[in-house]
Amino acid sequence: MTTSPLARGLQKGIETTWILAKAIVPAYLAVYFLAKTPVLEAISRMAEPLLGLVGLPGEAALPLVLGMVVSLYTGIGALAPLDLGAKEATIIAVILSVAHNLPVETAVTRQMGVSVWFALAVRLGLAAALAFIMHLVWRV
Amino acid sequence: MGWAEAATAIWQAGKEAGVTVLTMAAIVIPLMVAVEFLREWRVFDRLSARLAPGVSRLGLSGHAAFPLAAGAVLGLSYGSGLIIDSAREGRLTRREAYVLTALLAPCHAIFEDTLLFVPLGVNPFLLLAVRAGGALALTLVLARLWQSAAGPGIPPAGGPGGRASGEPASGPASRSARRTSL
Repeated sequence: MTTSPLARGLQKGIETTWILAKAIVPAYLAVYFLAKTPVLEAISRMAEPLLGLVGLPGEAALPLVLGMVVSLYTGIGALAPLDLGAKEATIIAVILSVAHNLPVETAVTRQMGVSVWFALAVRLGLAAALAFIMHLVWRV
Repeated sequence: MGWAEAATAIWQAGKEAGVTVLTMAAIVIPLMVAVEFLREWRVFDRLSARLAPGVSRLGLSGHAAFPLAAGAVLGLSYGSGLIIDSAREGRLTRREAYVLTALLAPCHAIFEDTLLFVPLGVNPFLLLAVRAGGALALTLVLARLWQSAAGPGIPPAGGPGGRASGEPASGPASRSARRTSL
């Protein structure tokens, strides 16, 4: 840590932006192309009943799945093109911030000697519970 | 779809993705600079010292305070790099590793993760409050359950003295974590 905090911050910020860009651009393209095929619609229809429980439309399935499985950045990239209200965006943000990058991060907690199932149950359970509570409490 | 349509879709998607990336850059870069200044001024170290009495309420020893603060603020694998380190040196019990995971797995890198959602119109204070509040509540419940199940007899994972709380452990885990910021 010999460099100044300003230089370190700039470097970290640019690195993060680069990671974001690499994840966001492909996610955007995927959403745009999937939107023109029946795939997105099929996924949305399947996810609709489940997502409806927490007040989300079926189309929220894609950013949620991408965020949980691939990375938070990819999830955000797939979320940005969707036209959602503040409540829906916030509920998705809560779910994704609690449960993202699951394969990688669960491997990390496993290194601490914590069971994979425990880590997954905590994250997915908490995400679902918080989303459900927000949906109940937040009346627009 | 035809070629023209495909080209339009790519152009449209690329343009919007570009705007999103630039918006994120405008938020993320100044934030990172601010976080680095806070670290330079040792705000996080002082924070972890302040946290030490609080973590006992979660059934954690003071040794867990610094890994906890590091994970919450800087990211999961950075924090767990410290936790794994502490666990190997026998300063953390198995129960403490589980308590830390219950808290940190859902709630880490709280500034970076939260700010990523701001360009999408999400209120960062609300998001952070819900996320941190939920993780804390869950951890308190689990800590209480485990405490009563295991009895108060669990030794506080004592080794001689704690890590000097100033410098974070540097290892492959912490270095890579800083880069990828999980």
